[in-house]
Amino acid sequence: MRKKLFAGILSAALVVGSLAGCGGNDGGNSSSGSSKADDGGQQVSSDAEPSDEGSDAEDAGADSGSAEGEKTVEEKLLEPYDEPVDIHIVLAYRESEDPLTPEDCTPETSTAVKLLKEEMNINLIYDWIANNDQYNEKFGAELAAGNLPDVFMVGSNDFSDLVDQGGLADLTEAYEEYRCDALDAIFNYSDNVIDVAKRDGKLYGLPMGTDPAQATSQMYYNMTQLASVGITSTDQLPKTIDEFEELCDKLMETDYNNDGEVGGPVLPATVSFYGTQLGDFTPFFHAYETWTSGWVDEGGELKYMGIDESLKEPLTKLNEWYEKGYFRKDWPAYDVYDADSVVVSDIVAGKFAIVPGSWWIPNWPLNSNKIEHPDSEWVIGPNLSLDGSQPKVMLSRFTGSTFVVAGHECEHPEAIFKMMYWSLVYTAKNSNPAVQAAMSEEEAAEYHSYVYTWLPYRIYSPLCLRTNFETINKAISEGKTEISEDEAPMNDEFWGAWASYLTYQENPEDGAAWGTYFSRLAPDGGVANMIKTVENAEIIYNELYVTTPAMITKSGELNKLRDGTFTSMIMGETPISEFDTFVEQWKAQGGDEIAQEANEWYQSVK
Amino acid sequence: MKEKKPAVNKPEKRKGLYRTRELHVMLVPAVVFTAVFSYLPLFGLVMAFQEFKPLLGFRGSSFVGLKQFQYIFTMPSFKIAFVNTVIIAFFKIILSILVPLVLSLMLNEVTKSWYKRAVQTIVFIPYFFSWAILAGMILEIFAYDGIINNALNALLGNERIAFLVSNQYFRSIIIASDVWKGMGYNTVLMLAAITNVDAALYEAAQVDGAGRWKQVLHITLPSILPMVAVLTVLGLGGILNAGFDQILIMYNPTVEKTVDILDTLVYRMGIAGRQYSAAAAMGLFKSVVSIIFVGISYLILYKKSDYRVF
Repeated sequence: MRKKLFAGILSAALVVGSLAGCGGNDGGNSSSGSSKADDGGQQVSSDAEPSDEGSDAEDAGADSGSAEGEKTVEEKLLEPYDEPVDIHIVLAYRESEDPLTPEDCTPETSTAVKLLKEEMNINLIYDWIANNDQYNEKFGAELAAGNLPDVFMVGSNDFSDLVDQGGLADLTEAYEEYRCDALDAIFNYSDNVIDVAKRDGKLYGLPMGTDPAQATSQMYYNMTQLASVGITSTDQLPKTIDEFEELCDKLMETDYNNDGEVGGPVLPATVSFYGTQLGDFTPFFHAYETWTSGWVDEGGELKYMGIDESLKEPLTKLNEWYEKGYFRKDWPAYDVYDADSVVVSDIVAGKFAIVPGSWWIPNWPLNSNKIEHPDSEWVIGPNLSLDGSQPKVMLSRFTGSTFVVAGHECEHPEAIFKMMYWSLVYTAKNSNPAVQAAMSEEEAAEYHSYVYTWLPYRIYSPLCLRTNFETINKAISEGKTEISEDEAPMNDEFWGAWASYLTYQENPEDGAAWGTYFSRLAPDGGVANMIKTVENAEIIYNELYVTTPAMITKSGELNKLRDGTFTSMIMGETPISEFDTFVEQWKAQGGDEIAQEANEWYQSVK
Repeated sequence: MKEKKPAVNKPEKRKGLYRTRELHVMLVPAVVFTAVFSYLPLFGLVMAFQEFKPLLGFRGSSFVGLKQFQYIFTMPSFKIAFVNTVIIAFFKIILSILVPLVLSLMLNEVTKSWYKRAVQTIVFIPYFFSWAILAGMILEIFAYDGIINNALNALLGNERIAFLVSNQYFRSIIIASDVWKGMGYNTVLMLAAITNVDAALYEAAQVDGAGRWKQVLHITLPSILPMVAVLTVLGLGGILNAGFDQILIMYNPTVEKTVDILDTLVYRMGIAGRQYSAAAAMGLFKSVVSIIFVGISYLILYKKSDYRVF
């Protein structure tokens, strides 16, 4: 569960992460390279766009807002507190993704902490900071002692659990008072998504959603390396599992990556073999129209897909592939999200000509690969299936497995809205390439010391991927080379995406700019393919978007049972024929209880 | 050994207490430590009988009787962890006696003292490193492209073994690395015991025509046997302590089947999974089993070698 939640946060994070056209530098060895590329990128964008000074509109608004009279919600949101307000927060620490963040910048000295104090009179206080991989345990230990921060993010299990214990502040009033379109675009972007966070009509959290389509998977191929097995055009890329296997067999016999060795592995693999959205087996499960989780409506009843018999087929196939040596023999010992992950460094080093992943992987880690190996030519191949047609796609009815919440002892829950809006304004203003070009060195240092991952909330708008894709591609087709403030949609991603396009136009060799451009904007890129997939595919929905009581206590063990069994089956330790035993165990250990609760809930909302 | 009783008459007891006052002062930190970290938490065990919600506290959480115990005893991962714990701890106890025993006997026969000291020191070094450091090294060594596999590959051709995800090998790696890490300590203990053996016995044996081997067999071994017995029986109390930090750092989900132990399961359930009550129940169960074993070992020691812990 933790991995999954983390993957969710991370994918959202990576989305937001590319503000200044910077690829994430989690690959470790790529940071110097991408830092250089980033310098270049900013110069280019400053050349391309004449500097535009008039971006202080929000500041002006804030000033006039402090005058007497009718205030708009936006003005109220930016109104500083009269008395200093302490907000206690905690942090799952990750290094800043922005390579230009000054070395000596710490969470406590970051720009948000400084400016929230100066401009909003809010003191952000870090009660504790734990490394990302230790966060869940640290949080559990602190919770056991009854300590909750004022503002923090939780997964859906913790969310339900904390609501039951009365651990969360009621946000209903504050939300009504401070709701505005820009904020709603983040946590209430369509169909009253925010209701997911309501219990008995009271609002306890702000769901941090993603575009449901982001759950789709894709296949990335490095055409430069595939040339060695005779694939020279994208038409030749495999469409079916059989063709794919044929290609892998050829790669097994070819030294396609020039490392002097023939043989596997030819595919990356990771311990959380679905849901990491990078180097996992998701596309293969999808090819068989199977899913390792999710509750779909079958004849009016919810049915759990993670125990469905159809899973035997992909498991059998993956086991065959394991035996053939497509994956590392000890793949379950490695995780994409480990610090200094071997899986990632192998991808960056160009060991794999095929990388399964989500729409964002060009922006990390393929961009790092492109920086190290500029001749890499990554393309997205057809979604795999059994017969070559687009398989069914499962989407969540509501996404939002992470919630921004206020602890029960928080005296100013409305501060969440103020901080989020402040961040939105700050980011939108400063990520504009024109504004950045006009920055003095000090201002630039301040901007790069704004590290969004160190804040207890995200301001990612689930719709921005599509909005930005459409807006920018429209501008490109009209031959525009600049976009004015007014034309720009208000989201934290827009200017970064636009800058990456400008840089990429100027210098297609720039790996970092390519990463952002190819993931977000290219007509054959990640987002384009993601949209194409959900538009063409038959869609079934994962209907369950609440956490039932039994899920809180049982789902951890159940997920472990499932993951352990499937891993063991892929590795050939457990025969696939024992799938039925697994299903029995799953049901007996609480699966039936969860199914019953899920269906009771489902009947009540239908 | 709370109090060292000086051989004095009763009226002089106060005087004796006064005379050993420095010793008692030195005991204070240990007593406070034990009280705060071992006795005080006992009250927390009440949560094993509750559906504990931390924000509601002990008073607010509802009592559920033995429900948590029912829950953990029907949990398959509990059974697996219990069996693993016993197996791993058993081998660790036995091997951490046997290996140092052999090692110390061998070292004792070494005549070059610089060599003996060097080996003794080198063997002792891993004892001082934390598992956080050693685990990284061991995982690296046993990795698919690590030293061991490279050696195997060179010697046997294309034969690599995925040790780290192998349910066949990983438990042995856990046990062996723990024995390796701790063997220096027990070796030194046993060497000390060997040095205390009366030299006259060896001389007498030599006169009787016993060679080196016979001397070891008939003098050294029997002389240090009480020491070995004490170490073994004391180890029994820790039969359910199979090395939490080592395993937490080294294991991965694939090998949970063979190396998941009660402590790691408690950690995952309680801290990571927020099931505080079930984890507390499991911890209580572990304590009860441990106390039984401690009792047995106490009895054995008392009966056989008159060694008294209390």
